[in-house]
Amino acid sequence: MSALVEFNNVTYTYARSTKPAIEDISFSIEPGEFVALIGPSGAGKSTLCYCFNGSIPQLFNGSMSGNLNIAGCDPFEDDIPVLAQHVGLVVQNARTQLFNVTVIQEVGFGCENLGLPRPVILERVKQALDFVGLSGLEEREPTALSGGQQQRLAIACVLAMDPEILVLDEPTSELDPIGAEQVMDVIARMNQELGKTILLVTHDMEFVTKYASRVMLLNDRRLIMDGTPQEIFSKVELLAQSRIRPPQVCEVAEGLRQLGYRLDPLPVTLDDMVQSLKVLRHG
Amino acid sequence: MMNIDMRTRKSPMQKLDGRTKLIALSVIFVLVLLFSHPAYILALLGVVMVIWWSAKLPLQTIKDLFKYFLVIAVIILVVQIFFYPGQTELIRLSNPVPAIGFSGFITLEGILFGVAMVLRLVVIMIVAPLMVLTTPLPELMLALVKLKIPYRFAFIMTTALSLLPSIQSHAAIIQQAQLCRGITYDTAGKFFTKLRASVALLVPLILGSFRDSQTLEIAMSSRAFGAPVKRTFLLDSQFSKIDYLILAVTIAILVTGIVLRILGFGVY
Repeated sequence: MSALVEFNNVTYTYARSTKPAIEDISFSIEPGEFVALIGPSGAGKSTLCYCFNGSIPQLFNGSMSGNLNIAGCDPFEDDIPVLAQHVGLVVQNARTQLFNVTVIQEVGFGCENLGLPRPVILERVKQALDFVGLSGLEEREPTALSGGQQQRLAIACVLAMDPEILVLDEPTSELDPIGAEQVMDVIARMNQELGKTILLVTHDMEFVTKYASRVMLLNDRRLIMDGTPQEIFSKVELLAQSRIRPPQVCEVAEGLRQLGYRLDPLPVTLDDMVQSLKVLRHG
Repeated sequence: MMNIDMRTRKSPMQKLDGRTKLIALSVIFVLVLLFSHPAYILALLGVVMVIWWSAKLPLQTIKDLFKYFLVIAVIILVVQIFFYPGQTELIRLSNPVPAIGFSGFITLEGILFGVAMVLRLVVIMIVAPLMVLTTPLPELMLALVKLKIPYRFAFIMTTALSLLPSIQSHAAIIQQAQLCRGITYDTAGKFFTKLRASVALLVPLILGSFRDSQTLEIAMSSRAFGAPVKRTFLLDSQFSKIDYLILAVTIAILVTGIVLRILGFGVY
């Protein structure tokens, strides 16, 4: 299977900046993967997200080098509206992404821009709102919704355009725990039920271990680790250097390992941990 | 079921197609500029007030508008009364003062012109909200696009209007944060205190809006804004019989107005 996303030695420097925001980034993503992008603030995570739909280099004045292939498109060559059909980008602050007067208009906006026929748009809007659990709020003002609802609405807006890839930049950072859980549930289902390829930037490590099939760690502009959650979270010291706190389960497991208990592979979820301890107990 | 049917509204004004309203209100706009006799403009004001009443809009909105307008109206009136170069002398006040363009007497023409100017502005001021308050923004945009206004322009106009409430709430948040840190917005305060406070409010508000506008640009592009295809619209709107009737009446009034003006009516 050929890769859906390919980054080859990508470096980007913002205008009026002497240091690159991301440097020599190379990776590829296969269709259907759920990739969590983690890293401390200022590591370059958002910059990397903007590369996916061509916002970088097209909307920012900076310099970029390397090669990119996003679902067969080249962000250097193809316009953002073309890339938008393959990549849905949801940014951190939901409020600033919503600019229509009703929920239905908001979700339909992307499909209207693509010139889809009206019945198709109505169907897609309905499906997207059903999927994120906002059916019945069609005529409400987006600004009148709660933070969690606004973020789910922002997801519905890009989902209605039916892209293969969804890039979500810290979608839950400004939400209360319940709102965050509902948003995370929608993201997980987009991957599991709709087969969407997900790149999620988050600081919620519990969610990462629960749903992500792969974790990439970005620190100080560079991609320093790329692997399964087990591989990444077992490197507790490396994570600490990047100011990332692994899930508590991993910290406990690592502590047990250092005490001489054999935990292999490293449990990353509570269920894994229970299983591992059962195995240890019964030999 | 999604409610995107426009024909389920309360007032007759809301049931009209956006194009009908735009055209009819534009005609009022043209007529009010065409005539300069206060009686004609007063008649137009009457028509606008009837429309306002039929649209079931609150009169309070007009009162609110007038709170700000009153000072401007008085200034316009005073300037025109004293400085309009009229012929029919009513009251002589002093000798002419050519240095400031004051003829020394108040003229009938000056009063009429001043009153006409104020009435004109009143009509214009009431007509614009009439459109915005009876037409949801998506319908306004659709009307503009159907009238062959470029989509980008229509989008900028309606989005600017739709972002106003969000800017207002942002301003309120900044004000509250600043109040907590001791800035006073006391309206009874001195002019310079108020000025300083408004600068303290405007700077973060404008900077914040710039920052938000970049996110907005990214969000819009991510949703294919500007795609090189013919855009479709979720909303649809067709002319009804009432729309045709109102358009016919509007055009008849416009033509009559132009003919009257050519014949020399409506001016003094």
